[in-house]
Amino acid sequence: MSEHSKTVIRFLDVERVHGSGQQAVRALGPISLDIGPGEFVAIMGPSGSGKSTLLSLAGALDRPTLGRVLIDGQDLDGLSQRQLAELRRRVIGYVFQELNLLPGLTAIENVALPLELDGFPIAKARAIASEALAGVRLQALASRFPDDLSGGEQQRVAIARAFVGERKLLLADEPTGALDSVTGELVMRLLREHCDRGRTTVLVTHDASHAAWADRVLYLRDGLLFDEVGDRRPPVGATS
Amino acid sequence: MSTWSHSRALARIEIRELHRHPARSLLVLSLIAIPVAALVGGSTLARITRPTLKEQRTETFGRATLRIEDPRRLEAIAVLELLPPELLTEPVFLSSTHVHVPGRRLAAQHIGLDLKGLAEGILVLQEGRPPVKPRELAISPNLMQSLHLQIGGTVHLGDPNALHTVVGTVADPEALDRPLVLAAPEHFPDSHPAYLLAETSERRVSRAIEGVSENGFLVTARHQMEDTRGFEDAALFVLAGFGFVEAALVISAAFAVSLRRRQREIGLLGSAGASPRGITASLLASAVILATLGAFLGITVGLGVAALLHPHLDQWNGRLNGPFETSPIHVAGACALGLAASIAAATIPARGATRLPIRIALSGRRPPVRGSGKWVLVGTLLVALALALMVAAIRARGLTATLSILAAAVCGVLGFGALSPWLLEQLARFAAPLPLSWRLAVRDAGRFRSRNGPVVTAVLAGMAISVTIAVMLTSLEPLLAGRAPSLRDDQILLTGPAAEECARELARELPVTARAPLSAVYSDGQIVSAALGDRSGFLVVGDASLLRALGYDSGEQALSEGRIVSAGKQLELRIGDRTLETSLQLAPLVPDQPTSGPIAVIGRERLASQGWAPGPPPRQELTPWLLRLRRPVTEEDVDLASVVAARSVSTTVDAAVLHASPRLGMFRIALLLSMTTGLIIIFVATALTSMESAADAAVLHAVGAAPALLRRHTAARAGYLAFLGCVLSIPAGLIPAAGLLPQANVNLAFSLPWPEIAATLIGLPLVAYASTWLVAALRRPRHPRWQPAR
Amino acid sequence: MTVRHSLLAMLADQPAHGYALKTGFETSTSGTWPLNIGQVYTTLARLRRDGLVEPENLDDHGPRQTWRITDKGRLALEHWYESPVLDDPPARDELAIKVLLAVATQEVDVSRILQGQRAATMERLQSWTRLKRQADPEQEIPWLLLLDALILKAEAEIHWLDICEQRLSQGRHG
Repeated sequence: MSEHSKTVIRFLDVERVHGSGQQAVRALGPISLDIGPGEFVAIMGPSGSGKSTLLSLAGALDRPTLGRVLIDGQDLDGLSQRQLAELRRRVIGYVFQELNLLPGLTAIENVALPLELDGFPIAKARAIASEALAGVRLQALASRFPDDLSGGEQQRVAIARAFVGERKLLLADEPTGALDSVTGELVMRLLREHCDRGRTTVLVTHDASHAAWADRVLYLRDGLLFDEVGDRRPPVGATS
Repeated sequence: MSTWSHSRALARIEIRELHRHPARSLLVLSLIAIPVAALVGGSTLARITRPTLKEQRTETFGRATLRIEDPRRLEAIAVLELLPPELLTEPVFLSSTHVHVPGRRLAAQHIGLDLKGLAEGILVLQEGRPPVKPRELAISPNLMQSLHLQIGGTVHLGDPNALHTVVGTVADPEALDRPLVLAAPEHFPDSHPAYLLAETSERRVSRAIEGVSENGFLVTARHQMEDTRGFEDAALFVLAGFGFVEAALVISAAFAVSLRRRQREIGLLGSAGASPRGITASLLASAVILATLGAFLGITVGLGVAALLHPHLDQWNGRLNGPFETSPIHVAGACALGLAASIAAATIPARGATRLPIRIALSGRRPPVRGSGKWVLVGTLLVALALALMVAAIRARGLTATLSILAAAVCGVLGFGALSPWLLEQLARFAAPLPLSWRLAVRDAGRFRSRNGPVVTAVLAGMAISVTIAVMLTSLEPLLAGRAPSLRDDQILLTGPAAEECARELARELPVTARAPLSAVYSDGQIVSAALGDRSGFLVVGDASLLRALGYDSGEQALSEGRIVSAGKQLELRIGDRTLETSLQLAPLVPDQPTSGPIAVIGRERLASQGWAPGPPPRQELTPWLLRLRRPVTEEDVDLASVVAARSVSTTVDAAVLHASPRLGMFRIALLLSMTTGLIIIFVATALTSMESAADAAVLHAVGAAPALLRRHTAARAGYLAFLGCVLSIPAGLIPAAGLLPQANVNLAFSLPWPEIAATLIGLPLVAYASTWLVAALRRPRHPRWQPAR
Repeated sequence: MTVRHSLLAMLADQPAHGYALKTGFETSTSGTWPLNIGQVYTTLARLRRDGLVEPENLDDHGPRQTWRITDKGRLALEHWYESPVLDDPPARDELAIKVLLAVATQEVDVSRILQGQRAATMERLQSWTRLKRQADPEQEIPWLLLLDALILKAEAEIHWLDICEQRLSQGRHG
C-alpha cells in the first residue's frame, strides 16, 4: 500500500488565487495538510480566512492555483471534469449551511441522489437511502419535500445524503449555521457518530463549541494555517 | 422620507437590477421585443404582399371601366356590332396551347391582349417589347427558363412549320408562375374573344351597362368590384388580434417569471420600510423601461426583417409585390401594445409579490401554494366559453362572427393558460419512475407551478397562432392548388412521332417502373370524356403497365375482368353531351397522387366489346407515351430525356418538375413567421427558466453529477415546459381555426395539419431540448465554487 | 453563599442528615464540585444559628442527626431563587488580568499567550464535549445542563481570545 492510502486529504504547498494580475487575491495558502481516515477535523478562523476555499478544494469543487491536492490518493490536477464529478459522488459527501436539497425531490430521493447518479437502480438506491435516513432518525419523513421540512430536518437529510453509500469523506460547511443550539448539537452528534465509524469528517465552523466535537482543530488566518489544537489520534478517556 | 426620495431610491434599485442581471434583463427584453417585432413585421409584410383593391381591379379590368363577357361566343366582329357604338372596346383572347422547342413541350395559356391598351396592367412586360407582328410572342419568364429560351429565340405552338419569335417576357403580376404566351390581339389565332374590356365616362357607366346587358352580354363594372379577400381580411384580423393577446401573455409571463425570482428582494425592501405602493410603482417603472426598450427593439427588428425579406417576397408568393411601406398606425399600435401589455403584465404579479407577507417573502421559500382549484374553475369556464363562442361564430357571418372568433381564440388561450398550473401539478405526481433529469424537471415544474405556469402559457400563446394558421393552410391548400397538376411528380410524358422509341430508350437510362401509350377512347369519332366529382378528364385504354404508369399500383385483376378502374366511385362517362347510362362496373382505386387528365382506365377487351376505338388524347394528333419512374423526376432526368427526344423531329418531353414553382401564399408566410416567433419564444422562455435552475445545478454539481447530467437537467426542464405548452397550443389553436374556416365563401373542409402538429408536438420541444443542451454544453464549465444562488 | 442555599434547597425537598446532604450536592453537580463533610456541618451550624434550619431530634448531636428547614428558611430560599445572579463587582478574572498585563508590558509575546490559552481551553472544551457525548440525553438532564454551562463559558473564553487576537493584529496593521 502506498502512503497515499493512509491519508484521505493531502494538501502539498497548496495555493489558491482568485482573479489575476492587479486584482489577484490569494484566498488560501501556501498550506500543507494531511487528514487521515477516521479523523474529525474542524477548521476555524475569521471570515475570509480561507476556510471555505480549503473546503472547496477538499471537496473537488475547485482546483488549486499552485501545489497539489490529493483526495483519496487522486491528484485533482490529473482529473477531468467528469472524473471530478465521479470523485464527488463516490468519495465525498458535502453538507452546506443551507439550500442543500433539491426542492423538486423528496427527502429520500435527495438522499438517493448520489447513488442514482452513480447508476444504482432506483429501488436499490432507495433502499440504501432509507437506511441512511434511519441513521439520522428521519425515516418517517422520507416522502416529504424539502419545503415541508424544518431547517434541522433539512440538514439531517443533507447529512444522510452525505453519508449514503460507502463514502470516505464528509465535508461540512457551517452545517449548523442556520440552526438553534440544540438542533445544531444533534447535527454535530450525527457527524461525530459518522466519524466514529471510521469515516473522515472535515467541518468548517466559527463556533468553538461545535469545533470541540472534532479531534483536531485547525485555525486559519489570512489563508494560512495559523494554529492547531488536538491530537492526530482521537484522544482516549476523559479529563476533568 | 419624502415620496420623491422614496421613489428615487426604489428606481435606483430597479436600474441596478437591470444592470446586475444583464442576461436576464435581455431575455425579458427579447420576450417583449419578439411579439412586437412579429406584429410590426407581420403587418408590414401583409400590407406589402396582399393585393390592394386597386390591384385586384387592375387584375380583372386592366384600366377599363367595364368587362363584357359573351356567353354565345360570337366572333369579335359580330360582338362589336351588337355593342353601343359610343363604347370604346378592346378584345381579350384566352386559350390554352403548348410551347415547343426542340426536345421540350410545355403547356401554357395563350393570351391575346394589348399591353398598352385598356388591358394595361393585367399583364406586365418585363423585358423586350410587346408582340405586334404575326409570329411574334412574349412569354412568361418561367417558360423562358424551363425551355432555356432567350429573347430572339424561336418556338412553335404545335405546328413545327410555323416558328414564332420571342420578342419579350410578360408576367401576370398576381401570378408570376402562370405560364403565359402573349400574342398581339389582332394576330391571335382564335377569333372568339374571351371577354371585352370597355371604357366609358363615369356618367355613362350605368347607361352603358344597360345597353350592353340588353344585348345578352354579361357585364361587370369596375367600380362595383368589391374587395374579394373578405375571408383573408377576417382571418388577418383574427390573427392580428390573437397576436396582440399572445404578445401580452408572453410579456406577462416574462415579468411573472422575473418577479418570482425577486420575491426575497421585495421582502427585504418591505422590511426596510418601502411602502407596497412604492414597490409596485418601482417595479412598474422597470417594466416601463424594459417595455420601451423592448418595443423600440421590436419595431427595429420587425421592420428590419420585413425590409430584408422584401426583395425575396415576389419569389415566395408569386406576385409582383408593392414597394416597401409600413403603416405608422400599425407600428404605433404594436408599440402601444408592448407598453400596455408590459405594464398590465407587471401590475398583476407585482401586486401579488408585494401582497405576499414580508415574513414569507424574506424566508426565500416559495409562497404558500394556494390551491390551483380556483384556476381550474376559471380555466375550464374560459375553455367552455371559447367553445361556445366558436360554435356561435360558425353560425354567424360578418363582423359578429369575426369578433366571436377573436373572443373564442383569446378565451381559449387564456383558459388553457389558466389550466396549466393545475396540469403541471397533476403531472408532477407521476414523475417518480422517470429518469433523474426528467423527474427533477417535472417535479420542479409542479412544485413551482406559479413560476412555470406562465412559461407554459407563453409557449402555448406563441404556438397557438401557428396551429391556427396551419389548419387554415392545410384546409386551403387543395383550393389554392386549384387544378390538380396534369402529371404526377414521378411521370414523364413523351409527345410526338418518336414518343414510343424515346420511351423505350429512356427505360434503359432511367429507373422506369412502367411505360405505356396514353390513348384516349373514341366512340364514333367522339371522345369519351370522364368526370369524377369536380375533376374532369377522359377515359384511357391500356393494360397493367398503363395502370402502373398512371400511379395505380393494383387493379390489373379488375381490368382483366373487364371493369373500369378509376380514382373514385362517382365516375361519370360522357360522349359529347350524352352521359353514358350503361352499367359500367367500376373498380375504384385511389392513386397516391391525384392528377387530372386520364381519370379512368378501361381494358382493351372491354373496349372492343363496347365498340369503342383508341385514339389520341384531346387536342393532340399523336398518342403520347407515359413513363413512370421509381422516384420523383428531377431536372436532370428531364434534361436527359430532352436530349433523347431531340434526336427526332417534334418529339418533346413534359414533366411536373417543369411546372413546379414553390409558391408561398399569405398564410405560408404567416406560418413561417409565427413558427419562427414561436420557436424564439420557446427558446427565450425556457432560457429564463433554466436560469432558475442555477441553484439546483449547484447542488447537483456538489453531489457529483457529471457535466452531462447537468446539461440534461437544464435541457429536460426546457423540453418539458416547451412540450406542455405545445400540447396545449393545439386545442387553443384549433378553436379559432374551426370558427374561421366556415367564414370563407368557398367550401373549405376542416383538415388537420398533421406535419405541423407533429412539428409542434415533437419538433419544437426537441429543438428546445437540444438547443438548451447545446447552450449548456457550450457554456464554459463554470468555476465550480459553491455559491448558493438565491 | 451557594453551598448554604444548596443545602437549604435539598432540605426543602425532605429532611436529611449531613452525609446525605454531601452526597446529594455532589450528585446534582455531577461531581464537578466536591464538598467535604466538615464544610457541610459548619454550614448547617450557621444555618441553625440564623434560624433557617432546625434539628428533628433535639437530643442527638452526632452525625446521624436529621435536619429540616424552617419557615424562615423557606422564605430565605425563595428569595434566593428569585434574585438573579449577577457578579457585582465582576469576579476577578486571572486570564483577563494576565492578557491585559502582557499587552501593557510589551515584553512578552501576547499572541503566544493567547494561542497557548486557546489550545488549553479548546482541549478542555473537547473533553467536556466528550463527556456530553457519553451522557444520556434523556436520563442525565441536570448533568447535561451543567456541561452546557461549562461549554458555553469555555466557548466565550475562546471567543474572547479570538477577539483579542483580531484586535491586536488590527492594532499592529493599522
